[in-house]
Amino acid sequence: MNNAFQTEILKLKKNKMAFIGFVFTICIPVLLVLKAVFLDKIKIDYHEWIQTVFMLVNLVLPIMSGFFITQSMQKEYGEKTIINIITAPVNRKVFVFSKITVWFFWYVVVMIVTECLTILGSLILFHSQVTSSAICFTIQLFTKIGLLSYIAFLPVIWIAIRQRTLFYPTMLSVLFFVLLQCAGSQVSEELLPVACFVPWLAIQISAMLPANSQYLYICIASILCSGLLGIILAIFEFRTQDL
Amino acid sequence: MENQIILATKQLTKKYGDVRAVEQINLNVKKGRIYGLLGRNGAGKTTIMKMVLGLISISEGEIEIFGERLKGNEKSIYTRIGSIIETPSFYSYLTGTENLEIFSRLRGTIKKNAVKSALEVVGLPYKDKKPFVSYSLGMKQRLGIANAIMNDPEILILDEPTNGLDPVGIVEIRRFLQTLCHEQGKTIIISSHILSEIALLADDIGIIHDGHLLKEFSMNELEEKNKRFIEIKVNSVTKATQLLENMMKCKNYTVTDKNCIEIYDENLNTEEIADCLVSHGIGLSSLVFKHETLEDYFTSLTGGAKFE
Repeated sequence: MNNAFQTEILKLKKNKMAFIGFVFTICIPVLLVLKAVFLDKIKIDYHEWIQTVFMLVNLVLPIMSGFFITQSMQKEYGEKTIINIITAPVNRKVFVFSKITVWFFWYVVVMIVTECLTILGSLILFHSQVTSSAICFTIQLFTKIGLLSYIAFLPVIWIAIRQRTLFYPTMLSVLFFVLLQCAGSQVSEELLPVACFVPWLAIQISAMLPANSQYLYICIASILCSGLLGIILAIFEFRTQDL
Repeated sequence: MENQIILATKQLTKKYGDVRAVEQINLNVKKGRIYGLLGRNGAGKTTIMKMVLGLISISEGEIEIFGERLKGNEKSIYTRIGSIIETPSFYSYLTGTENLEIFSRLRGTIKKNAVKSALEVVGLPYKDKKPFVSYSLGMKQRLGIANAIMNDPEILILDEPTNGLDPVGIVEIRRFLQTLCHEQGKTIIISSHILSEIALLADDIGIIHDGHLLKEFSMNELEEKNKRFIEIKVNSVTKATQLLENMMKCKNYTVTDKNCIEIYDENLNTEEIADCLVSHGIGLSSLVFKHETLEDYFTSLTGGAKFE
């Protein structure tokens, strides 16, 4: 597992998609700081600014993350390097786990850098309003939603493995999941009992629910089920796949 | 050592739905020899190699390597095998050295200078800046071979390794494989669409046709049993055959074309035949001593399916 992960890191160093995804995501807080400094005539509120960053990051990061894992898997099939990997030999289950691990590694790095830049930006723009509890809340919210989003999107790797060299079906699935994730913030109270069971809707819902809500547990359970199912399906698909 | 079977398949079958891509293949690869898999495109050569390497599942039958029955992705077995399947496959944006470093790390158990020495063996530069995508087809093949030999394997499985190489490159690879086999005792299983290449390289041959193993033989056996004959081209086959039968008492011949006869009678010599035909006014345009080649044997076995 260690060797497989290390080789994924080696590949990551020259992976353009990883770099582009990283730059696109971390640009969001930077651009919003520049916008607030140079373009906004009316001074905006701290919470409003944070919400805008949060909304955009939650839109862009999953898309970039989807691009990253789709391209990572599709390249292995397209360039047929998967044959060299399996004959090295690398256990098929280990290969899937190494992909998931490096995807998580990339995701966490991008998330942390984005969080840091967001906090830095908020300190530049709203120095007097930003308290330590506000910073903690921002970190907590970003991290919680970021991690839940990553887990809910794990079935993407199964689709990527199933589609082999095809890029579009996986990307369309990613966009559909992102759409659902965004729609999650618009779910009405009446639809809440049903929406909680949809993992991608549940990501945003979980951010709005109080800690003691029973729906929060349903949301988290559905997201974890999605992640678990994604991993199991990916391993099963890859283990039975003829290369 | 020569008769020790290092890789054997028993009733090996691969089915895709109702289609049988490979059916009941019984290969026997001897240790320290070069085994050539011959067959037309789509005959099932790559499918067999992929099953041996665990890239595709086995529908029926079994594979034994190093005396052990293959059950799955056994690391202990596959680390002793080097391979190239279809085309050499590497990361296009990485250099040759970087690519080999990745695969050497995946293997985990190779020597310190393995990447450098493997590249030296195939004549590729170490630590160059050229990405794989800019490599010529020949360089790609060489890198594929470097990757296959990097962990000093006991068995090399090479699917069309000379594809895209220029004539000099083909000769170099052939010599290199012969050295690996005959001096270092490696066992090599090779498939190629260049039949003459296999004839020059292989010690043993398996002929695959439509997913079936038609024949397995050694090149020595083939040479021993190859028919030797005299081929004559005349202006009148009818008159020539009458002369052969009446004057020279030869019955062992075949008319292969409207003006071509193959004479298998070993007691006759070329001068005798030429004198007889010319003295009886038959125009003789060609008279050559021939023997059946691997291509002829392949054609006869596959029922006239010409090799591509």
